[in-house]
Formats: sequence, C-alpha cells, structure tokens
Amino acid sequence: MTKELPDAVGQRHSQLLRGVLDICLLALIAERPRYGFEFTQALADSGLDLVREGSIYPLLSRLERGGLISSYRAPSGSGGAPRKYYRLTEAGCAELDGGRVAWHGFAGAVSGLLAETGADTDAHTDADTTSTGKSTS
Amino acid sequence: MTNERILAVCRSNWEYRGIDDASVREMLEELSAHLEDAEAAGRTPQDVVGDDVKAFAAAWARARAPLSRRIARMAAMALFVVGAVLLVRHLVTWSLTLSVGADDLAFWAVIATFTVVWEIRRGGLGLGRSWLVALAVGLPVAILTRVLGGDEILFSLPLWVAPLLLLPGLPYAVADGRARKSAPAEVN
Repeated sequence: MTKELPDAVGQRHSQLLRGVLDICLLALIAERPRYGFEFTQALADSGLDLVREGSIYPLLSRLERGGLISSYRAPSGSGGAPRKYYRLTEAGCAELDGGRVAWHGFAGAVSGLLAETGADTDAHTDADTTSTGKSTS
Repeated sequence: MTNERILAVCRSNWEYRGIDDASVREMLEELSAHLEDAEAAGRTPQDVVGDDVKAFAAAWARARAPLSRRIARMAAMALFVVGAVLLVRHLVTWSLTLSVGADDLAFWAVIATFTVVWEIRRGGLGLGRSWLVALAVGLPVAILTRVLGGDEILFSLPLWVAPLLLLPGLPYAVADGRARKSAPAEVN
C-alpha cells in the first residue's frame, strides 16, 4: 500500500493526509466496522497511500481512548485469527460531522485561493514571457 | 527484519514503557494479524512498521496510554515487587521484623538494575532468568559487600511495611493475572 511518489509531491501528500487521517478513518468506520488491515486497503483504494501502514494504529488507539470509536473481536471474512474491529460511537459520529464541515470549509478556501492566485500567476507568467520575448527579439 | 523480530521488538518496547499485559497482548495480536495480511498481499513488514520499529512501537504506546498512567503503573508494580520480596523474607525467617544490611541493599539494587536494563533491551526477564540473575549477579555482589563493608544492620522493617508496599500494585497484578489466564494463545 506504500506507493512510490516523487519526493516533494509524496511529502506534501503525506503531510496533508496526516492532518485528516483521523476523519478519514472515522468516515471508513461509519460505512461499516473494520479492522486494521481493511483501513489501509480502503485508503489505498481511495488513492490515499500511507507511507507506513502501521501509522493508523496509534491514531486508532487515540480515537478509542477519546471515546470516538469502540472495538470488539470477531472472526474476519478472510479467515484466520479473530480480528479487532472498530465501530463508531455517538461521539465519533458527531466528530465526523464536525470534521466534514471543517474539511469542506478548509478545502473550499484553499481551492479558491489556489484558483485565484493560479490565474494571476498564469497572467504574470504570460506577461513575463511576452516581455522577455520582446526584449530578446 | 522478520515478522517475529518486529513483534519481539514491539513487545519489549511496550513492556518497558509500562503498558499493561492485556493491552500488550491485544496490540501484538492486532499487529501480528496485520503483518500476516500484508505478507499475503505481497507487502513487506517495512511497509507496515517503517524502517524504525522502535519509533513505531513508541508512538503506539504513547497513544495507547498517557505517560502519567504508565508511570503510575510502573511505580506501583515496582513497590509491589519490593513488598512481595519483603513478605517472602518475613515468611522464610518467620519474624515480625526484618533487619536490612548493606549486603541486602546491594543484592536487590544489582538485581533491580540488571532487570530494568535487560527489560529495556530484550523484554520480559521471566521467572527462570530472574533466579539465574539473583544467583549469578546478586549473590556475588551481596557477598562482596558483606566482606568489604561488614554485616552491620542499617535499619529494621516491621511486618506492616510489606502489605503496605503491595497495596498500590495489587489491582495491576490482579488484572495482569486475569489477562494471562484469559489470553487465548501466546502471540510470538
């Protein structure tokens, strides 16, 4: 589940994911109870690759300690030893709702800013290219 | 690094960080299952825990239980061990007061230091190895201390000190014992 990404892009991707991983985990549990390995698979299927798969466990522990999720043991569909499944609590549902609102607000603001400044940058770059072209011609 | 080695490193790290036995077992079972699933999916153990296994284990331990709770447990368990040792000595000598000399202090200080260092590096010492440490390390140091410093008594301990020291660690010891009994199978 650890994809090779270009260094700079990979680092930014990892930093961004770190900030919202808790909300992503809560969203995945809201769909259905899951165990550790299933989270990493679901994240990868959504295009969110973790640098280290095991980094979900400290986060799951923190969420469980905070009462946002609870756990139980049950046999897994793939067989083998029983797995520790996580499910959402009421507090977790509320946290997820709040996280969604916060993320949409934040992502919208960043997208808006990047779109505006992107248009300005393109205009400046065009102007620079034109003026450079003029001076060199 | 093999799955077994990763589990061994994590176990020793969690034990020395004062994570309770039931939690250590649960975390090991969870990690072991993940490593197996990852292996079946064609991924390496490093994809799961990264290159620094100790850092991974430490992060999980910190998230699992706050430092204050882990320190409280470690302190209570240390007092529990001292209390148990004193109680055994009361029973063996069948007396209400224990005389403590420099050789006694040296004996227990050396064993405690050795045990802590060992458990930080390698995990649980176990009963058999504890006896070996007592005989191979503690006894020679105690004899040497007695030869060099004499057999003067430093202080005496009444019987009530032992149960008093046992008290704070008793709930932890009972919980650990129950967890050991209810554990389905040993991981690693």
